[in-house]
Amino acid sequence: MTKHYFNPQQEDVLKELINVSFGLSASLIGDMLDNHAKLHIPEISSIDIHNLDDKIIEVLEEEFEFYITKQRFLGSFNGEVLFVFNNYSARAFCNLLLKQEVTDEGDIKSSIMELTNIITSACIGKFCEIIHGETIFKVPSIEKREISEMDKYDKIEGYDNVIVIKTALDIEKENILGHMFILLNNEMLEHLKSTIDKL
Amino acid sequence: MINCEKIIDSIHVGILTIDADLNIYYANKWFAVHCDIDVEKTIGNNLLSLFELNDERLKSLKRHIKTALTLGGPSFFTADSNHYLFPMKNSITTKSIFEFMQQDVTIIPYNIAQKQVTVLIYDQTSLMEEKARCNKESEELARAMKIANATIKKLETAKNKLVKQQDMIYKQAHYDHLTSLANRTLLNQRLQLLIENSQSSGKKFGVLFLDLDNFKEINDSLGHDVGDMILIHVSKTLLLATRKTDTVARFGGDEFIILVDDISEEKSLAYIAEKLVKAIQQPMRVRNLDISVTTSIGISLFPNHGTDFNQLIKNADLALYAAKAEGRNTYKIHNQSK
Repeated sequence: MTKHYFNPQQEDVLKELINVSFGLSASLIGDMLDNHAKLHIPEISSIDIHNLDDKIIEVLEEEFEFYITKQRFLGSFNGEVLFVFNNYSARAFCNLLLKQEVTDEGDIKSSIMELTNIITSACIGKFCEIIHGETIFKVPSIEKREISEMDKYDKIEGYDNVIVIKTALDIEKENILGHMFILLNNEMLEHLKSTIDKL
Repeated sequence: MINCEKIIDSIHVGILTIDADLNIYYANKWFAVHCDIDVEKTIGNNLLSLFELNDERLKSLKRHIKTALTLGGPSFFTADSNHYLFPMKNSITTKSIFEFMQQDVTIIPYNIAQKQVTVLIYDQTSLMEEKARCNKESEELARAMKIANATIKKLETAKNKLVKQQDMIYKQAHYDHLTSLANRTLLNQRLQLLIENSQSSGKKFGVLFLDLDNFKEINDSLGHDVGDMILIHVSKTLLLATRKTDTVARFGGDEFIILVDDISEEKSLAYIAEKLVKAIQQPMRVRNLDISVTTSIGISLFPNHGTDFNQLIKNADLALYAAKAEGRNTYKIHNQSK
């Protein structure tokens, strides 16, 4: 399922870029929670767009329900970011943010949106910065989904490649695990790779 | 020269410029109309003088401003997960399920050095109303489907029960309750069917009338319950000694009738009758008693000895009478000496 879009040197640079964004994100997330937050060094892999659903099921590890956020970015650097959190991680993060046991779906969705907004904005902003590209973000959306219903959801079209970034966030004793999927077409992927080569 | 302010004042989006301390620097016409304020008098005031934000909303707003300023990118609230950020009057004139306007809010950095951001407010109330309506309809549909499925299940159970009851009633009406052999009603139906089929096909069939010899004495000496067990044993023997296509019926008491289909000559019936006589006379063990019974058989043949139920049965009975007269434990074909 895994593809190698990036050679080892390119992957190192990409990892470094994402790590810088993660550092910035962790500081904001820490402020958000009045707590120390640590984002682990990202694990990066690449897959073909046709394997997206299978990959989502794989990273969820037996969890039946999950939350998925979607956000498009348009402009000279364009694509779409998906974020996937299993039910446990989503609830754990919301509990930490609101400092209470939360059951309201709206609160959970709102917390996850705020978290993904920070990480997405930091990462895509960084990519844009190195590419010297212009991008605007569309309003994100969030849904709660079930693995068993995977075939019924609308398929995302217009992209060829997916960069998968494992985002593990440590706050207090909790480990919040999410996965970021950056969807790019072939042209954008080549653009990103050639820019990385020049760095 | 394009008048941008005129454009900004004509769009259906609320635009507001504030700083991290929530001081207002700019508000467009949309915002002023929906908040029912005079823009000129509002500039320089604090946002909290216009809205009462609860603690969670206020914290969240400040966090989003900080995110936008730190990352230099947009930060979003969505109506879908937050409903609203600013408690603004619902602009919908029809009865709404929402007290306040449902909003998508985007916060973008305006002047990072001055910690100023621009807040864009999109009225999503109609969309959210529609969504809530769809969700309600989906839930009602799911509920209706659940009820329908439960009803279908109940109907299926009732149908199965009815089929079982029908089977039971059919069995009670067509089979003998002691031996489970066909009763007179079913015998009559099968015989009529054989007559009809044989009339069109020209095929012959035989009627074997059996009566156990001296069964009354066995009943009187050993009791009716032993007698019943003997009848059950004899029934099983008759079923084993005949073809599945033949009909074995209990005609009453210790009398049995067997319809033997597709017979070419009387010789075949004689062979079957002899086989049955031998099979019945085999000793049986009932209640630790070794019992032997014998049978006499009268035979009639369609169409030679009759073409209707009564005639065929009557002539087989006459042959049975002749077999009994000849000393029992034997068979006789109507109008023929053995």
